[in-house]
Amino acid sequence: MILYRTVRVIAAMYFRTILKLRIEGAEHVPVDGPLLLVMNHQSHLDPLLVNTYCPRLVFTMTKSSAFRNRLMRWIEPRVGAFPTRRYQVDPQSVRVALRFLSEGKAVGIFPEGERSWDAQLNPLRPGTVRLLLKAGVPVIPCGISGTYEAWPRWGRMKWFTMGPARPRVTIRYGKPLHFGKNDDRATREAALPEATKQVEEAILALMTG
Amino acid sequence: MRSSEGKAETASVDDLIEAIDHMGGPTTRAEDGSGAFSYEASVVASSATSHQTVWWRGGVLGFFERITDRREATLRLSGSEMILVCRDRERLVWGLERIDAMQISSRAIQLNIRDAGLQQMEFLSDSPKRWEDLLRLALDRFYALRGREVVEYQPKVVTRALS
Repeated sequence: MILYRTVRVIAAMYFRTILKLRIEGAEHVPVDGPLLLVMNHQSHLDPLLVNTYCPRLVFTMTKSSAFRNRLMRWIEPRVGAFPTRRYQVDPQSVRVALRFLSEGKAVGIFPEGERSWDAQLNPLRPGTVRLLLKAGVPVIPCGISGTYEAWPRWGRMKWFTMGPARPRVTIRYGKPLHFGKNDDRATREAALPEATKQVEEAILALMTG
Repeated sequence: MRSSEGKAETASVDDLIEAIDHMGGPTTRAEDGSGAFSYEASVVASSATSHQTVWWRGGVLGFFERITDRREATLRLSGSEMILVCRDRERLVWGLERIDAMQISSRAIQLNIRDAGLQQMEFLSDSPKRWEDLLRLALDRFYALRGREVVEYQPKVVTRALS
């Protein structure tokens, strides 16, 4: 992952110049072993910032349309992205996520499934929560705030803003949540509502600080 | 949204949609006499006829859709049907019960239609968000009339019996 590491170094310097960036709770992210990072999604900036500043490399579930362009198709896997088709159930993306976890990697997921239109947390996709319940690895909730102001879904990003006018962005990692390994489908379905509530509450608390 | 001073402000989607309605709205709509509305918009329609594999280090990393057959068309939502009218082609009619999934992707609406695969509509002069809300409403009404409620729209339309 030479490209990924190189991009992280360059991007880390660049984002510090255009954003007032604050990162809290990084000590909650284990330095090794499998983990699932679940974050709210307000902007295209979110994966860029998390993949840049997370204390370890994160392999992020990314919408499949990001792979349509030939250049992006070459770059995306090299910076930890793997595709998921959001318009249908995509068992391959779940298999890949579980494979990365079995290799002790960190997998990043945006459980809302899309960017928010108004900075509020959208309902979490049940499929994502089922994956958390099946994987049985520590789940690190992460709340991102300020990226909506910097680059909302309906607007454009100012890539060269500097000085005091820079948008303030905060990334907060929370304490790990543990759901155990629920191999049985019936157990997973029974645990789904409570797990969804826990993850939602954790992310919301981190978004608002 | 941004104020006239260029400052970012938060507004709920419902408020924005209401504001669009007050302004007349970009969506063309007409009443059919029975009180039901039909809506239409100019789109660039395309479809995914195949999927391509993403390989990484000798393994399959995943798949993405290959979008082809781009053409200008008019998309119409009328009652419980979606109709796509393309110049020099037979019009396509999909009943709402055939919509397996629906979502926004950038400026387009993507519909996964049973037996027709992924259909993508890029709106030329309308908002995909507005159409997503409209289609959700249409699906909600369609299933409510059949005693069901929609609990998920993607990656699969899931319904359950109305309690």
